[in-house]
Amino acid sequence: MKEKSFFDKYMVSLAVIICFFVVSAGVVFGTHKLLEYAALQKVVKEKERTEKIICRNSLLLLKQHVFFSENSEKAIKAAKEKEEQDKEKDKEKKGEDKKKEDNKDKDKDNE
Amino acid sequence: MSDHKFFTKKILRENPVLVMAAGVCPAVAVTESASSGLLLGCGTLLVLLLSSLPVTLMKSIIPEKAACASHIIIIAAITAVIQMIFSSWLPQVTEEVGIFIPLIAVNCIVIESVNGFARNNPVLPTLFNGLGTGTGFLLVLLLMGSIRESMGEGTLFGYPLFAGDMPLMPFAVLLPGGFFLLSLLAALNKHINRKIRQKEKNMTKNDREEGKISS
Amino acid sequence: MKEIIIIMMTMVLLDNIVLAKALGACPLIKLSASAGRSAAVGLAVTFAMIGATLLTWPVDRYWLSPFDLEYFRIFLFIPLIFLAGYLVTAVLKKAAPSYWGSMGCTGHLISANCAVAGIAFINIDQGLTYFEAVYSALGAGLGFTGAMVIFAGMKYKIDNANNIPEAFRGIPAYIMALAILSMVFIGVSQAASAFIS
Repeated sequence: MKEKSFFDKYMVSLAVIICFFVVSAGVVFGTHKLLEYAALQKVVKEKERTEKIICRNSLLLLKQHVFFSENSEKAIKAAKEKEEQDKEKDKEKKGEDKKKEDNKDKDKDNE
Repeated sequence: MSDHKFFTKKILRENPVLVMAAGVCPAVAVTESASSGLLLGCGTLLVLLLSSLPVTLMKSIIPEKAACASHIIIIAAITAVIQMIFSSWLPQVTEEVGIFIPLIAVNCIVIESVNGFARNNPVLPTLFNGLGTGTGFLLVLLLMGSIRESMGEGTLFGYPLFAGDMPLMPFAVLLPGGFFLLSLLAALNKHINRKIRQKEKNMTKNDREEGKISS
Repeated sequence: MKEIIIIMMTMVLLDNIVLAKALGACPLIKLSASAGRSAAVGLAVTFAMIGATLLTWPVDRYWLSPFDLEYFRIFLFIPLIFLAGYLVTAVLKKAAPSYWGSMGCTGHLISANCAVAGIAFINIDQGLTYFEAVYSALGAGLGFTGAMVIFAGMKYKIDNANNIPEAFRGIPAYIMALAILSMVFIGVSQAASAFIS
């Protein structure tokens, strides 16, 4: 009977061991990549959340700015109108005063 | 023996740490805080289960000469995966546990379960055996960690236990305290086992006597 | 030269792998019998430690660190540690078969226990050079052997004592003895550190 050569005796076992080694190394490598991807996704989500908050904040600031600027325009307009009204009132008052004085003078002349 | 007996046997009667002294190194060095004990117990349980199941399922494919080497490769891979998962999920506790997560792979419990049990038994007993051994180990670690942390530092899982000034026992957190507590637990376990066995012996003796009298 | 001596003394007296780091407790409790056999097991573990360091340190230095493959460390180290242990036990079985032939499953306890694997990982964590790592392994092995021989004597006394409570006979008593031994060792290490510095 032919004796089993080294090849026959150990090749199957060696092949099984190498197969296991490769598959297990792949499992370890795959887990590492999966965990890296998960950590990256976490960072990306956090970044997106922060960006959303910043966008919302700047939108709020813009609205505030618009509100104040609109209101300030209105206020300036209102102040100008009031000034003109005051001026007209002053003019009327001055006109009335002048009339009163004229009337007084006339009365003095008549006497 | 019905399959679930493999589970219950391993918790009290053949507890891997207390009776068979098989995982003493991590049990004493890691239980200085309860959270690291819990983490290592869960890690060992996971490694046990995840490595004995493939071995049982593939035991007909693996030739006899390649058995040891392929088991070791599987255990090493599962331990590496567990370490990566733990260090990304709970980095601080993993730092505390340190080198004992790689040492799960050379834990006598894991090697014996995979090489001795999983190679020769079908799937369901292996599953129950792995669950039982791992749970027994986890319970011992949790118990020891809680006792040592609460007596040595006054906290439990980081939360302070006692409101005022309670006298602490720093000896409990040192290594000799761990061995001391382990030996007390082992003696307690032995005592409980003896009582249970005596009760069982008395019960069978009574049954036999009643049987003789009735017949 | 001085660093090497200091490293070895540190591993044996200050940082004993069993009594200060609890890494070799399993074989200590299960395997020590007579003093001669304990010394033989200790020497075997020393060779296993040195072999494990010889095999694993270059792998980390030249394959893992340069390419950022730290996560492969456990996966590559464990089989190498088992290989070192297997070589040691194979050599021992051939050299003295009557002595070592009856090892059986406990062969794993010598070749691949927490102490051997722990040393391989500790050497990398501490960032030692190749020579320093080998000497550290040698020191750890000598410390382990010393602890084992001392514990064998304690075990002999425990086995022959007859006033131990029933619940403590066997393994609980051994673990208690180990507790006392490590307590004693704390004192020894304090004295040794004062002496070294």
